Amino acid sequence: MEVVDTSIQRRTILFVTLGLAVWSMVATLTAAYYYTQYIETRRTFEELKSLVIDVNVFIDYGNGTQSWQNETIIAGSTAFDALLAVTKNVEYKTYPFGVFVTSINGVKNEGTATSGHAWLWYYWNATTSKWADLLKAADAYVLKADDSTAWRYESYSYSF
Amino acid sequence: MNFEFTSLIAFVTGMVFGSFYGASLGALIMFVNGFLSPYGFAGVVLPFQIAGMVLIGVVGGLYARMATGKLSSGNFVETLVLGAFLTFIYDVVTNVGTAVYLASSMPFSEALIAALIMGAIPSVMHIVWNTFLFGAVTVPLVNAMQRMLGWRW
Repeated sequence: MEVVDTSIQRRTILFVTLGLAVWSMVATLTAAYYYTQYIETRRTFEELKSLVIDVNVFIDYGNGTQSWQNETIIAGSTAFDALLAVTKNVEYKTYPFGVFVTSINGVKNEGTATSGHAWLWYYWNATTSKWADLLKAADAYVLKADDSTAWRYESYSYSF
Repeated sequence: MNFEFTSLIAFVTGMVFGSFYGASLGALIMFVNGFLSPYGFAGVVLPFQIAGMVLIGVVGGLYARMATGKLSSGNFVETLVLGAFLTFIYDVVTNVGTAVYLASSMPFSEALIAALIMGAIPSVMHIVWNTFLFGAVTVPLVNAMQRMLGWRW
């Protein structure tokens, strides 16, 4: 008949239980710690997210070349800021009414006061589903989230 | 205090000389540490640190009664588990002390949860360190001390 030492069995059970208890409690606390870190990171992300907006910038070079770019910019930025966000190769002049773009990516305004080619900008009117001209400088128009702007190299002619 | 030898010393002292001496040495070390720690005066956490270390010394003495005779390979595992368990208890007790400190500016229940959660990662490091330390050092150290004292050959 096999003799079983119950004191050794009890002792083994005791230490296994202690080990498992530590493991479970430490694992729980660690999970709680990382959960709080997750909540904190998420909150920070939401705060930062409210500081930026996504906008779309369309550039039509007038020779068949076009580009659409999505950009994330700081809330409160203007249509001109959005253009600078998608390309740094922009030349412009500043007037009392605001900036007037004279070149984008090497494509420069040309012509005289009465006729020629120039960069004009438009915004997408979601209500009418059409590109619209605000008749104001690009740096005077503050963008909203998901706004779309277009820059077109167009010919013009005026007669006085 | 994630990497320390104090709890091992208190535990081994308890095993070799008895619970009273283990607890006394643990309390003395934590009392001195409370004033001379490079982290500054422990403040309201000090009595909790002392209580935690006293517990480790007492359990060292109690475990010695359980582990009669020369310590063997089985004791490595047991001291390893005890190292983890006692360190966890010590950290919980000191975190309660931290909660008492934090409770001056928030409800105690919230302070306790905050202290336990924010102390989780340091506690994990502390437990890993002491698990390794207790498991690797306790048995040979106790055997060596008892041989030196002529209590066991």
